[in-house]
Amino acid sequence: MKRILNKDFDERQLKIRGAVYLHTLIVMVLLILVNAFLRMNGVVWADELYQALLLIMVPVTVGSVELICKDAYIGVRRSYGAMILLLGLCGIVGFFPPLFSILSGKDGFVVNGAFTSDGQRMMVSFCCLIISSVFVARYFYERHQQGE
Amino acid sequence: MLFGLSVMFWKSYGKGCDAMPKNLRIKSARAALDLSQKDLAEAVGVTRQTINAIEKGDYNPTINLCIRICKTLGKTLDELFWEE
Repeated sequence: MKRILNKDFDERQLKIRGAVYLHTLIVMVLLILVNAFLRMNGVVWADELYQALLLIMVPVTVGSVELICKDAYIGVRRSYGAMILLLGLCGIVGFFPPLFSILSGKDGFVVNGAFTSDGQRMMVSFCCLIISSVFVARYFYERHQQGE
Repeated sequence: MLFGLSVMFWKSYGKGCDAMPKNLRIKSARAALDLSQKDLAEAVGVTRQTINAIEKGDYNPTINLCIRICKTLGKTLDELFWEE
């Protein structure tokens, strides 16, 4: 496993990834504590499945954005671009239909202090969209830098 | 929590007090062989951004990477990495 990882990322990227994983873990722990505090006080802000998904997706999004900005998301081989574009596609498919539904008044984003099913789906998809968008922006920025 | 996260990210992004000086010798050795950063990066097995970070003084390469860079550019460690 170590050999595979070392072939995929260079030494600078491995160092950065270690630091970013620590940041991601801290964010995840803080969100879990906040969620536990809310549940203790009887606040149900989303379905249990989406609570778990968001507790995973939000820190992963924060970490992914940091990795992309520091050019440690994709390694030396740069073979995962298609996967990230697919992630963006899933984000678009999951984000915009519920958004149109909410904007047209068919459903709401938050009802009685809890996110609706459309709202929950939108938030998870938004995380995917952010990762993909930052990746694409970074890709064009790098191309511009190389051109200079 | 937000303040702590901000400090954490600033420390990660900021150069800090021990920023290295720019390594112009690598840049000039690379230019002498008409190599782009991307060409050198591919030759030594790292990304272009890593070579850029080394030349700007933002990253201290390991001795193994220094040796690979020296071999590719045909220079010695002293010529490229010794601090004057």
